[in-house]
Amino acid sequence: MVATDLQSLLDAPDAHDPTDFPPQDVAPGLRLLDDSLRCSVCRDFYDAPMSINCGHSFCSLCIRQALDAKQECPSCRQPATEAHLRKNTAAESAVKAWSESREFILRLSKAEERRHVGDLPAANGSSGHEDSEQRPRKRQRTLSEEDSDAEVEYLGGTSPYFSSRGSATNSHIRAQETGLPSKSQSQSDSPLSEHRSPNSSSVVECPLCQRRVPLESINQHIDSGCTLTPSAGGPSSSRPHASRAGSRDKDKQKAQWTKLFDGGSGAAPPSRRSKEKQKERASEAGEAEYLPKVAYATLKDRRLQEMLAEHGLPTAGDRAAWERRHQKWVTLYNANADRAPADQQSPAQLKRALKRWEDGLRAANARRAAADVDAGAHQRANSAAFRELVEAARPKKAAGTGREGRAGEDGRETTGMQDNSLIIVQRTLDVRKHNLED
Amino acid sequence: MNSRSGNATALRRLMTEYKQLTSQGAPDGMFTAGPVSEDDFFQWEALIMGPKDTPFEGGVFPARLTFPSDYPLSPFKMRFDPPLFHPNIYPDGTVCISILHAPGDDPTMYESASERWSPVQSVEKVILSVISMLAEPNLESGANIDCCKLYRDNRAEYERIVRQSIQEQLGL
Ligand SMILES: [Zn+2]
Ligand SMILES: [Zn+2]
Ligand SMILES: [Zn+2]
Repeated sequence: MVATDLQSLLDAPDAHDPTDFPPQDVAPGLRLLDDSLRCSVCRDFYDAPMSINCGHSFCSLCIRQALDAKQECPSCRQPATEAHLRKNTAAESAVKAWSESREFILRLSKAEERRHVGDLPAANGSSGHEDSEQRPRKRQRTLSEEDSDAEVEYLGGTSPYFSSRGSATNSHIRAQETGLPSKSQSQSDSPLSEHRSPNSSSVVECPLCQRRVPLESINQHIDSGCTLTPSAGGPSSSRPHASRAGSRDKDKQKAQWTKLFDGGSGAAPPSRRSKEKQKERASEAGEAEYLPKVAYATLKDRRLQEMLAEHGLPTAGDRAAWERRHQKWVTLYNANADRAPADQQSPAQLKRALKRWEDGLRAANARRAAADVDAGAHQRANSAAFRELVEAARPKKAAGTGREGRAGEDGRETTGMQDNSLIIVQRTLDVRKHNLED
Repeated sequence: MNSRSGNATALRRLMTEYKQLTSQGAPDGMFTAGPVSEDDFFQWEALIMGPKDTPFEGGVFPARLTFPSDYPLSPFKMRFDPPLFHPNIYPDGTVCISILHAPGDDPTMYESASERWSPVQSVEKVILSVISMLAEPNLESGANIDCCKLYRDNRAEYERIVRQSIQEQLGL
């Protein structure tokens, strides 16, 4: 089996967050800037940002879903409803500009950080110093990005995020910078290989769909809800153990969904397909209309089925499934209408998103069932790791049992402790991996 | 365009939280947290240091975090394993704290809505709340009744039991 290496997933070039930038003392405000353009619900850059009455902003989809659960601002808890939603076009254009400039600023700030570190005596163990030791190596991992980008099939449509996150131009620049050839350089030759566990490679198994995906595109793949699958994976890139819980209902649903996606335009070659997509999108962009919310309790089964059919949605499953499906559809549809016309998705793309969501629900149920079975194995692995941690804690405890508040020493002691536990956590992971492979 | 639906959103957000936790570290190194295995980002393990100047000082407490597929819309669950003897921790180790309760579901009826879960909360914020709960139990939302009584009526004995359990854990 292919192990998904946790660290590889996190190091993938497009798993981005504010701490990619040097800390405040090296690059004042950059982490804050990056953070300020992110939705505090999903922690990603704003997608169709909307403000509510209190002034807080969120992605349209994030806030619509949050308001479905509770009619208040997730940040400050002031009462709010969908009627309060207003497009935040300033944030939208700021995100666009930042997405385009982020790689560039990141490179400049890293160069500055290296200079900064060079100026200072290495003695002060600031976090900034550690960062700069590791980051440049990390970035070399993005070398083969270009290949994977080129081979990826953009089922989900083009996105301004994708182009900025995994920019081919930038990998060129990086390649020149590091003096390594950009293509055909195998990952295992990179200096990073020493960090990897022996059985990992540049291909990781997606934790959602179990397909094998090149490391460089794993986050794009996940973001796309597992639709964006690179052709690089070879024959094994088709799902190895696709459906464990293969109920009849599920098969029926699958058939319905397949018909929806492939029945009409599915047989068409990719080029024609994308043209159709554009046409669909254009026709929709003109109106920017919203779907009304529905009080499902008052609806007869028949009417609900009709409503699903009106939007070309399947009627598989029970009544609860219909309601879930329709409600989610309304939310996805309205959030999409909040996007800038150029960024809007076609109804077919929205339907795929809806299907992915339903698949996700099913996967979560399967996971819950599997987790119960695994509980025993977990406990065994856990107790082993814990014994080690206790061993690590013991001498410290013995040394510093004087326990009255000598603040400085205590502080250091805790930090030492943390390092130990990090190691233990890492070992725990190793132990578990071992167990799983047995 | 990236999908923000279902699992993908939850997974992405969990990865971001984990990445930030590992690159920045917890305040004062008070805890660590991360996925139990690379196959399942929805099960985490946390190791929490007992806060200073409390009977829990010196202990290291492992806890299981279980995330729902609609995280962060719904909160995760947190269970100390092995269980801790504490007024707000159920005998099976499950933590009872308002920040982990979705709005509208309040098993104790004493929590103010302003302390509940909201999608902008995070693993870090919750664990920091749990650490302050270790230091200051909240008897109004008790989860372990015997422990609540003991804490209220015989504080010294409560502290002795907690300290002793930590010593046993450390094998001292
Ligand atoms: Zn968001
Ligand atoms: Zn607000
Ligand atoms: Zn996937």
